[in-house]
Amino acid sequence: MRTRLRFPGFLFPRSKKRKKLSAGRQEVSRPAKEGGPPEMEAAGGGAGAPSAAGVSTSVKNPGWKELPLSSTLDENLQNLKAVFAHCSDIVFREFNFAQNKNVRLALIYTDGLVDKSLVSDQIMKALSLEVPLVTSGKEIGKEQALEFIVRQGLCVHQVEYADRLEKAVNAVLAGDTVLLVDGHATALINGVRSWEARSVEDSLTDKLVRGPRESFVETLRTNTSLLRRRIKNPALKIETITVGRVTRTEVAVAYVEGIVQPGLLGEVKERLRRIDIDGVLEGGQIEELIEDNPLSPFCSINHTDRVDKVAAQLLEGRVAVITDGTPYVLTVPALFIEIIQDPEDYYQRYIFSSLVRIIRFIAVFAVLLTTPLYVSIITYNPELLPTPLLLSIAAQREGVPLPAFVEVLLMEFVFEVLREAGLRMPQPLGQAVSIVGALVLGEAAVRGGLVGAATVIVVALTGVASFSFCYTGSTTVRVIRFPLLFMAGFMGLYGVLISVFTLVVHLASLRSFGVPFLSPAAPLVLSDQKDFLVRAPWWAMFRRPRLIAGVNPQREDPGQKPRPPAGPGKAGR
Amino acid sequence: MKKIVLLLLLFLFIFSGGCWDRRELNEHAIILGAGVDRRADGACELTLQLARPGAFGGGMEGGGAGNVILGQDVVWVVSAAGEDIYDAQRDLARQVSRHLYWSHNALLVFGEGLARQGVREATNFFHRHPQSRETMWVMVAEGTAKNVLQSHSELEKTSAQAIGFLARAKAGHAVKFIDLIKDLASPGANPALTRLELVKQGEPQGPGTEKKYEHKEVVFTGTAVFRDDKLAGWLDKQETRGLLWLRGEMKKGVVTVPSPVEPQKKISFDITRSKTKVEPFYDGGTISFLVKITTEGNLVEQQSKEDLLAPGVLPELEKRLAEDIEERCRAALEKAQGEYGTDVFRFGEAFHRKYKKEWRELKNRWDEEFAGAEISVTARVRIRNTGLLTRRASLKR
Amino acid sequence: MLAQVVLATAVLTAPSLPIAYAGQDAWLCILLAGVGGLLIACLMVNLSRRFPGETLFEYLEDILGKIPGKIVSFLYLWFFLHIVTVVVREFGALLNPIFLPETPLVVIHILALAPVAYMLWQGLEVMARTNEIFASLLLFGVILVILAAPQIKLTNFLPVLDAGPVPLLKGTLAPLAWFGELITVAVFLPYFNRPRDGYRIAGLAVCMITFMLGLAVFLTIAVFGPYVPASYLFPTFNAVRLIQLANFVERLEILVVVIWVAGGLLKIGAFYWIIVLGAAQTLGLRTYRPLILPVGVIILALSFIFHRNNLEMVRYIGLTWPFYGLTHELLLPLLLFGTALLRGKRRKKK
Repeated sequence: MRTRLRFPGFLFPRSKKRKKLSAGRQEVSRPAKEGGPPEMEAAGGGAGAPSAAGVSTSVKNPGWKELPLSSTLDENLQNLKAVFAHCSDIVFREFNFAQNKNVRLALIYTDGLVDKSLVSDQIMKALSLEVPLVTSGKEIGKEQALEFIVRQGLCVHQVEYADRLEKAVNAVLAGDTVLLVDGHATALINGVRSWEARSVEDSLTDKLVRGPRESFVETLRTNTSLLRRRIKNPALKIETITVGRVTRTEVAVAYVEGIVQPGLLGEVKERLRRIDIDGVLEGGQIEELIEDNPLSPFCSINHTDRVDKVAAQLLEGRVAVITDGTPYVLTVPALFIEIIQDPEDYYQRYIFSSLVRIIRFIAVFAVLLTTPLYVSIITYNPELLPTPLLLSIAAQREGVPLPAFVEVLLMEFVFEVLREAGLRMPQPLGQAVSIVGALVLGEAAVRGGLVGAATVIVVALTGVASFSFCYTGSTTVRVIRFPLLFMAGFMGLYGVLISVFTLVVHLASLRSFGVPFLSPAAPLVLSDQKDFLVRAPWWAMFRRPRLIAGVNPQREDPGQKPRPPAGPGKAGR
Repeated sequence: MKKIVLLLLLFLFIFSGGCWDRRELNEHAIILGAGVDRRADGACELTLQLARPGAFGGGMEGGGAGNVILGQDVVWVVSAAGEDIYDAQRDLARQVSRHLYWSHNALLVFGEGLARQGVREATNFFHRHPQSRETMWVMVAEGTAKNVLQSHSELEKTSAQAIGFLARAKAGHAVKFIDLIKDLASPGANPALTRLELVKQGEPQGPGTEKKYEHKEVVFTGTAVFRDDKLAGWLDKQETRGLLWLRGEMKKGVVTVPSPVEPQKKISFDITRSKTKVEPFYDGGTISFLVKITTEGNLVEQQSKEDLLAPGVLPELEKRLAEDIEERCRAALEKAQGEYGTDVFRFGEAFHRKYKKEWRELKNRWDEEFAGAEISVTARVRIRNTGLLTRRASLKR
Repeated sequence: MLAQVVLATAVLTAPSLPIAYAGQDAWLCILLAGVGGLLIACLMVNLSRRFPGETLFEYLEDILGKIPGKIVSFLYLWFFLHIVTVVVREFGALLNPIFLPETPLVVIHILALAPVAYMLWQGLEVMARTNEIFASLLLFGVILVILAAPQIKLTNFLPVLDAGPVPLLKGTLAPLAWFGELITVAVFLPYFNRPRDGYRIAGLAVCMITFMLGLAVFLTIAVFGPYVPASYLFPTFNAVRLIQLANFVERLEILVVVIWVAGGLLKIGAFYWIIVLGAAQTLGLRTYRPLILPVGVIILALSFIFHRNNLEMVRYIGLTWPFYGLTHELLLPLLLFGTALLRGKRRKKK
């Protein structure tokens, strides 16, 4: 379902810090502009007709961004039109001020990003028709026009001034409406943003039985509002940075002041600031640009589209990075153990949650090790199987022409292809894929004697297990399973052991924003074991993770274990 | 980038010769049972029972892996002779198309002839071989080991498996390979192994099997008693019981005694728990042992008519049972002390534990000393349960 | 945190322990050796604390002067090199005959040294964390003993002190030499999070090692009795092979191999690290990273030169090693300690 969202305000209060930021970025980007194609071309969206005014302007006057607004409307309009040449979605609308026909006004906005009824009712109608109602027909001079319009003319909630061309251009592109007043070198920016967006729905990737179902959407402001609704506290800070030279994507950094470690926060902002890229279309790009271990298959930054999960992470002292246009919010620092943690663990009964966590933990190892162990035991160490099982497997393998290693590799390949096909196929065809995969391939391969039944069982087990924990984690584990499989094929159990050892060394060497990836297992943090393999009841988890929330570890008052009210009931004990 | 290429080359180099030990399951000839015989010319004869996996069936039908066809051969018994066991195995490797695989061997049978000449030489190969397991059962065949391995079992798939199950059920004095090694290494003990015999046993019944079957099943018939590593003689089933009591290995079993009231009618008793305590005494000249056996068990069958609820009946019964146990022990002791002169009861080790100084002098001639030792056995029996009945339903007759 | 490093390094020598001398009283040897090990550890900790923040190789020069200090440093380097080659060789000696009989030993060694080198490249902290993860494997050891319970005969330990005190002391020498490896604490101590806890950590390590070695010896004797295990190359391995529970839990020797591989790699890592660090400090390098590859190649080569076959290695461990090892582990430190006391040297003020 699509709804039209209304944003009655500016998306972002423009802080001084941000101004400095963008200035810094320009310095970086300028040399590139001189060498390569002018940046204007991309910003204007045009395919690059050389005669276009915008381009000629920028070529003629490469510092158009520094241009101040002029006090004559015509010059401003000319400049803006040059900038927005070949942008058919930019609307220029000129009209006269009701109080003084000499005061010409111009409205510039991007079609589709503004609430048109708001623009026509509260800006145009108000200024060109209704102002006389207020002033009872008294004429207002050119000099007072701007002041008057702001004070008494406009009926929109947020109004801001702009005196530089660049700011006006950015406002138009962001969905605000720019009002130019003849005779004034200041433009008025009116917040009337509104565009087509997906509505808040169930999370598609993180399913759950008990707990809030809301998930993030593509619009940044909706996402921040969802967070704000969870944490109604001024300590929840949401700072924004614009990333992407061309796309100008807004990226918000959210954290809870007083819980988050200042060092961590500074590091996140610093890394975001360092990004210099032409465009950010998804949070994943940001993730790869700011993570600690770019060469590792493990992701040291988590992402989720579940609002409650992000809120919980913020309360533990983590930092969230929300990217406009992405329903997935990044959270740092990320730990290995988050692969088996699920928000629902914290809402279900803790005993059941603990059981499920242990099962997920086993599943991780099942995905990683089942097939390599199968291959190495079958081809190198059959003495580890009980005799009847060995005879049974040997019987199945009697007619199989392929070595066990190739057989397993083949089945793994088939499984991965099926999985990918099921994912990419148009929805109604998904069923067909699974039928073809399960029945035709599996059954026929076994019947045809191409693969042993045990191999199919093992590969299927791996496949099922890989869906039992978080999807990102399972992709990682599935990837590293293949080198393990190769080592199993070449060196048997010894190869697997060596690989696992290397894997552990690698994991131990990882850090996510200063926090060891394997914590709280290595280094061992005893107090954090309550939320590791098992989930302790809420009244027992009175401390936040130690290495993440260092400054303020107390989560709740200890000793809240529910107990029956004191009174006559105790006599029986 | 250069580093990565170098690394890849290194790995390629390592693996190019790789997969040294890789061996698919269908390249193994899985050994289920092995037998060693000494031939008349002094050569070692090794007999192996090899599994034919195709016949075991993996629960699938059709296709490359055949399903179980009744009557299809499940094992293949091959044998070859050589100067020692490994030599014989080399010879077998020329007959068997697959690689001989020892890890799942569960049974080692010595032929009687070999056992009489000594088994120590025959154990070294199995002890040293990394694949061979110390938990396999070791037994002595009456006649040749080859005959035993060539038989088949009606109930189980192979005779080796059948013997394994029998041994696990503690049907006789079953000994694992490691126990044999321990007894051979210890100066205070001598080995005793199960005796295997082929006996015509039962007949398979079912539609279409009217034809007369000349089938002999492998049965445990007593114990082979060794002096050092040489077979000294046999104990029969009753004496084997005595051996088990005295070694303290009686875990299951039945004792049947005549009723105190009607001697021609029997009462049976099922052992649930048993403990044996051996205490040596030495005064510088004579060695004597006091063996105390404490047993608990249930009464399982009563043919006679005495009323078990009556006072004094159960204690009397317990006394009879104890006497029977003592009797069996004495029978085993007589054979071992008198006839064969060998300590198969590990009494030497018990002596060592108590008299460590004296043991240093005695240990080299322990078997002679043992033969002259005075051994008295006392047994105590407790009846804990009498099944679902208290006394016989009808006391009429 | 770093106590684990010392701990795991020594524990895994358990499977290769010689019971030959003292028979059923070998467990007493371990206890005696544990006491000796405690003394060595305390000596080294005391020595280290006189020179806070410095490793063995650094304060050698402080005690003995520049040139003699360097010579003794090289002596120790050579000694540690010797240890690590034995460990590498032992490592392969279990895997080669039992699990990969036809694979060339050199491949096994290369594959063992490669991940260790990677670990060293990542630094001491990563090594410590890896240790922490694998330390839980030691739990398997205890579980194995519990599983072996049906096979255990406590009467195997009787009579106590059967062979008399002389074989007992002889049997103590070899494990004592293994405990002497605790002199590594002299290198690790400056890197501990809390160097002040040196005594406590060393004591803890000795206790753990005594416990684990004792457990291994206990298991072996309890299962095999006094006569058989002396002939085994790896008695603990064979003992675990015997475990059979309920006709279902059996063939558990793989667990031993898992412990062996993990522990072996960590132990190699610890000594490898000491060698490269010591060499770097003796030669005055800023970082040891450039030494990792050459030292690795040297270890690989020496592991084949020093011992031509398994038996030679066993003989070396049983006969040569106790005296050779204890010279470096007890005699030299004592001399150092004495010199340091006489000269009354403390760390130079900078």
